[in-house]
Amino acid sequence: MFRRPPNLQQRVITRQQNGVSKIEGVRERYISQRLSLTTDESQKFWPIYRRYQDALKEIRRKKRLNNSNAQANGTEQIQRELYYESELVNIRRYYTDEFLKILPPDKVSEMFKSEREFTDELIKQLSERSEPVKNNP
Amino acid sequence: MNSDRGNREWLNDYMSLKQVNPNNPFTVPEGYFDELEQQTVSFIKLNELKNGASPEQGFTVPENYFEELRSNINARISIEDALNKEATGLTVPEGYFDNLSQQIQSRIIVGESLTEPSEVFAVPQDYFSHLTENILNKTANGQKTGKPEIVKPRGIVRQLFSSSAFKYATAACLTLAVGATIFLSQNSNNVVQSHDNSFLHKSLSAIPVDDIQNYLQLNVDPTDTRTLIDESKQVNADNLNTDLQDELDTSQ
Repeated sequence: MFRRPPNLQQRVITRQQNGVSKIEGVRERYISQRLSLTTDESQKFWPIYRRYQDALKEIRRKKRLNNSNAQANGTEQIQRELYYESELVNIRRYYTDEFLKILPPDKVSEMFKSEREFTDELIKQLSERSEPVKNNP
Repeated sequence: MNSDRGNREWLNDYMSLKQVNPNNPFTVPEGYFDELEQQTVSFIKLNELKNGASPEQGFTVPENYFEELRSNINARISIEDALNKEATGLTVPEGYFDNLSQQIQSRIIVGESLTEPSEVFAVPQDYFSHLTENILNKTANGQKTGKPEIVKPRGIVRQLFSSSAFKYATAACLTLAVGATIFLSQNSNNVVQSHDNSFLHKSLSAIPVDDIQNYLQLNVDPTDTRTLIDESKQVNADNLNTDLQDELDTSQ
């Protein structure tokens, strides 16, 4: 059975991480541009925001694993799925309170809206770029 | 006594008189004599007043009238002065009437002097009698006498306002101004949005599709989105936006 050499696999993962972190960098720039944070707010905001994103990412990763084909079907899988869903909500709720401690409410709203816009833009880009690829598989 | 008896005897002669009640039927109203004096006095006064209405007897001077007259008049004058001052505040300047006639006369003189300029424009003597001659001298005769006449070169005068070119130019300017205003206002409204989009577009256009897919897999959790992206070897652009939007709306 052919296994990819570990160093190659490692490199692929690193490259993916780099790409993702690059997009995250763009997201942070976009959000900071939209929120126009003061220096003080910015110092408090970004550490919390990164922890918030990490927590969400971790749960989503687990959720993906739970939904993968390797996972056995059954009640347990369904329960876990629902548990992760509620965890996502809990994280959002907790960090929203944290954000509200350091930012005015309209800036927190603006942050969520900016995230949504950012995701929309990514999807838009994807659909725009898929056109030529479709003709040329 | 005789007389008494005689007096009583006649009663016997007239029986009917005996039947009359000898008591006095006339009574005095109560308190009549108490008020009588006052009533009499007032009656007399009324009569006097009635008689006094005639000019020969009337016109009486109230008591002490002339003794207090002067002070009364003075008091009235001062009161009226005070009232007038408060009401109008109009006072005659000092020495106003002394100089009044003089001032009026001087005004009249000034007015006359102002109207004079109309008389200033006088026609010089024999102006019109020599007018034709003078004109001819300066024009026709002057040419005959061979005087060098300076003819100024006259440029072509175009009446801009009456030409149709001006109308078209006006219309063009107006169109341009309105168009520019609309264009600029639309642009200014979209400045923020377009800037944001351009920033995102610019930043993200350099990122490969795979990275975007990876990011979306991690950050957009719904199952359908993942399968769409995973399986879409290529994403169907027509359905993708609607599908993803619906999914995002429900999931986030």
